[in-house]
Order: sequence, then structure tokens, then C-alpha cells
Amino acid sequence: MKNSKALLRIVLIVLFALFVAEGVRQRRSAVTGGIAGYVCLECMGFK
Amino acid sequence: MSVSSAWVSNKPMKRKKISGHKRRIVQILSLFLINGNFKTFLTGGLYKGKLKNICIPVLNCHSCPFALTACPVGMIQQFLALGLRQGFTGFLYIIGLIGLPAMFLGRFFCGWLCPFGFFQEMIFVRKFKLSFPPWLKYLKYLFLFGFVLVFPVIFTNKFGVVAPAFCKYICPAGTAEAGFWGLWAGYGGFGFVLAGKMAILAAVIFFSVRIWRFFCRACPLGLILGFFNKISLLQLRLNDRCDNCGVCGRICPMNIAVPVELSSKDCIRCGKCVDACPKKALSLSFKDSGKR
Repeated sequence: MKNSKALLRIVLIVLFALFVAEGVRQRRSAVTGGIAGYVCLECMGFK
Repeated sequence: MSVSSAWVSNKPMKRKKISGHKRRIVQILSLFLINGNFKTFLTGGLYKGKLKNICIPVLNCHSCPFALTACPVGMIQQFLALGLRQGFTGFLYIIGLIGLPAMFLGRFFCGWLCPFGFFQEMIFVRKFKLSFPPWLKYLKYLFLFGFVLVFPVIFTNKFGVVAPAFCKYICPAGTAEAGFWGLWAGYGGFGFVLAGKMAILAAVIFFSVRIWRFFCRACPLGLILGFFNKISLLQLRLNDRCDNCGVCGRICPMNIAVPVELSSKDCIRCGKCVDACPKKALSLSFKDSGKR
């Protein structure tokens, strides 16, 4: 039980790290910065 | 002095409290670090720098003029809205940015770093305390699986762009941090949607005065982080000293059945139970002592 939990932790940490690394590699800045850097009218409740 | 030697010598073990001033200082620092764009007083606009490319797993609207980072809940909806072809890697990137720190700390972010959680704690008045209606805990599932994950994929607005439904119709943090500012700055007028969101914010404030961290119990990001509570490296741990006195369960502000549910999805790792335990049987740590 303990071993399977440890294995799951390692697998998930590696998986999430890969997601982040791939996002950084593909220059997510172009997307996240593009969205989060501008006013979201929906967030404000205007649209 | 180690735990085992303290047990053998039968002397009370001194331990610094974690839930008091220490947590409060971290919360204040976090508030100003995440919302540190004070240049907005001069420029009047949003921060558009590189820090907006990352998300810290806390509820903090990126349309707030002070915000330095992106909101993970907002970004999930935006990438879902972009569709599989355009938004898939971006969606995974955000999931990674939430999941990776959550694998280490679980819902620690809610209890120690979330500015909106901190705000709710500040307005809570103990003498008006109400118990949280148990059925309301199911709201977080509706918010996460309905408003955050499904509605942005299904419904599109008149421009063919999918609306971030949770941000648009529900998020009280967005209303508090961006809605009022947007109204003042002239980004839009007062309409039904904003009126509805302001009513939700007013309700959240009203109930947060009477129920500790009212909205945290319905927060979709809290639910995502809560799934990690069972497997995160930081865990609430119990040792052999526990005599089932029940103090921890009674003091838990999130109404969790401690010490039975040590990995509950609702536990925000505030550490109040750890400090309250008269036997020092509970600890919030990365290291498994191997007992129990």
C-alpha cells in the first residue's frame, strides 16, 4: 500500500513536471500572458 | 528532542505553534506578493509582465489591477474555451502548474496563501458563529464540474467565444478584485450579470462573517487541491500519543472529523488541530514517523 502510494506520487510528479516543461517549451507565455495580461470582461461581469 | 525520547521521558514537548501569528504573517506576505502591482497607481492598467505566465494555486483574479499572476481557475476555463486543438497543451500546462505544487503541499495553499481565504478569515466574527449546512458542500462539485469544466466547453456567446462560466456568473473573488474596479474604470456598465455577481459576493461576505471561510467550502480550486490531500507529501500525521479526547475534531474550523479524516478534501492544513492537541499527537509534516 505504502509502495503503491509512493509510486503514484512519483508518476504524478513526473507527469505534472512534464506538462509544465512542455508548456514552457512551447512558449505558453504567448497564450497565458495573452489571456491573463488583458482585462477579462467576463471576470468583471460585463459581458 | 525527538518525539520518541519526549514520550519516554514523559516531559511535555515544547513546539512552536503553527496556526497563529506565523500563518497570519505568511497570509499577509502572500497577499502582497501575489497582488504586488502597485505601479497601477501610476499607470492605471493591468500588469502584463512575465509573471502573468504562471499560476499560483489560489483564487486571485488576474483582472485585478494589482494581480501579478494568473488565476488557475480562470486559465482552465480559457484554455477549455480555446478547444482541443488550440488549448490542449495550455490546459495541461495549467493542470501541471496546479498539480505539481499540490503534490507536495495539497490544500496548504488554501490555508496559508489564498488571499480570498485570508479575507474571509478577517471578516469572520466568532460570536456570530453559525454551523455550515452540510448540503452546501456539494456546491463545489457543481462549480468545478459544471461551471469550470463543462459549461465553458458547451456554451458559446454571440461572438462564438466560449464564456468562462464560473468567472462570469459566480466568482466572488473576481467581483471583489476586478468587478468594482472595472466599473470605476469604465470597462462596462452595471447590468444583470454584474448585479447577480454582486449579490453572490454580498451573500459570501454575509455568511463569511458567521461561517469560517464560507466560500472555501464551495471553492472549485479548493476541490481540485483537496483531491491531492490524500497523496501530497505534506500530511497531517497522528502518532501513538492520541487518546481520542476529541479536542482536535471540536476545534477544527472546517468541521472535519479529525483524527479520523486526516486526509479530508476539506482540510486546508491550517494547523489549528495540531496546536490544540494536548498530547501533541498530531503534526503537519512531510516525514512519516511510521506510527499509526
